[in-house]
Amino acid sequence: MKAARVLVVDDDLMVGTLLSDTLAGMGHAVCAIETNERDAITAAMRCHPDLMIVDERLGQGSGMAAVDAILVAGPVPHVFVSGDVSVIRSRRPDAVVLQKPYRVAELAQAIARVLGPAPVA
Amino acid sequence: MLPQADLPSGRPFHAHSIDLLNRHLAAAIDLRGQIKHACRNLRGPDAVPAYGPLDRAAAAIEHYADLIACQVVELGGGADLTVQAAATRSFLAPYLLGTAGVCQHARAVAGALERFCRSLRRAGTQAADFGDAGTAVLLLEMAGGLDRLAAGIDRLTGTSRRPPHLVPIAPHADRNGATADWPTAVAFDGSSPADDAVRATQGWRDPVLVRGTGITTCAEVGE
Repeated sequence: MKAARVLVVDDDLMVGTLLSDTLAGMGHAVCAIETNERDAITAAMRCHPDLMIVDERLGQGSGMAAVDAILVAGPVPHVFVSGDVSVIRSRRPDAVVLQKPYRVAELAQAIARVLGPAPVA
Repeated sequence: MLPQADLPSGRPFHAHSIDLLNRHLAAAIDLRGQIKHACRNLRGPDAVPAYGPLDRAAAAIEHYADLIACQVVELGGGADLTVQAAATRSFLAPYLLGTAGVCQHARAVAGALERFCRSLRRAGTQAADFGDAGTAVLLLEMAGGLDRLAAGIDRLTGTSRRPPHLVPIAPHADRNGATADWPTAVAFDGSSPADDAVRATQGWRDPVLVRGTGITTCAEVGE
């Protein structure tokens, strides 16, 4: 599997930036880090990600609403991250959801579930 | 971010992360014990509503301790999970065993949670500075999770949770007399033009958030 082009959505810019470093360390390329629903949708239209890592709880808007809007244009594999996964699991039983806080190994497993095995860095 | 080979001590960044993580593992074990101590010593009619938030916090801290220990091992270190190790390394103030009453217990726990949370944020920033993004994300997300749990405990103490304010707070000495050399927080509530300037001067990094604790509150420092 080749490296994915990843859109990161997290309302904490520091966490988003560090997450992008982590993803780069896994061999992926981050095309955008966005902090709110509107900018996430705009970024997805611009960079056509292969994968999205989306925090459900955003300061402005919601991660689930952003994903819904992005998926109208076509399927994009995605992983939700949340401090309270029960909300997402109740609304999206089939979604891949990562409970915060998480370790890199758990993130890699979640990505592998939606994309397949991780690329060689 | 420092190149890994240029760390001041010349040690690989994993060694720094392992030190940071083990320090917080000790505090997490200590904190979990402190919260369980509070839970089991609640008395009176106010005990029932207080038990839930405290018990949830204890369970979360126990989970976080496991995550920290896993991260230590993943980085090639040894996780110090014994109570003896925690007792010597924890930076939390000792719990006063004579504490009585729901409000006193809740205040004691809120203060310990506050200190642990603040230290997690600083440690996350440090880990980011020496290039360990995975550890940094883990520690910062733990701090975020504890903020949510702490809100439930703040309600018990009657301390209303205001929008995140940053107030200058000097580093506390730990029980061994050591103080952390972490950056000092700055006044910040995230909503004014001046806060944009704070953001700009700090680049991509958000300032360290410090909540009112009931011990050092925004009101006490003139907010």
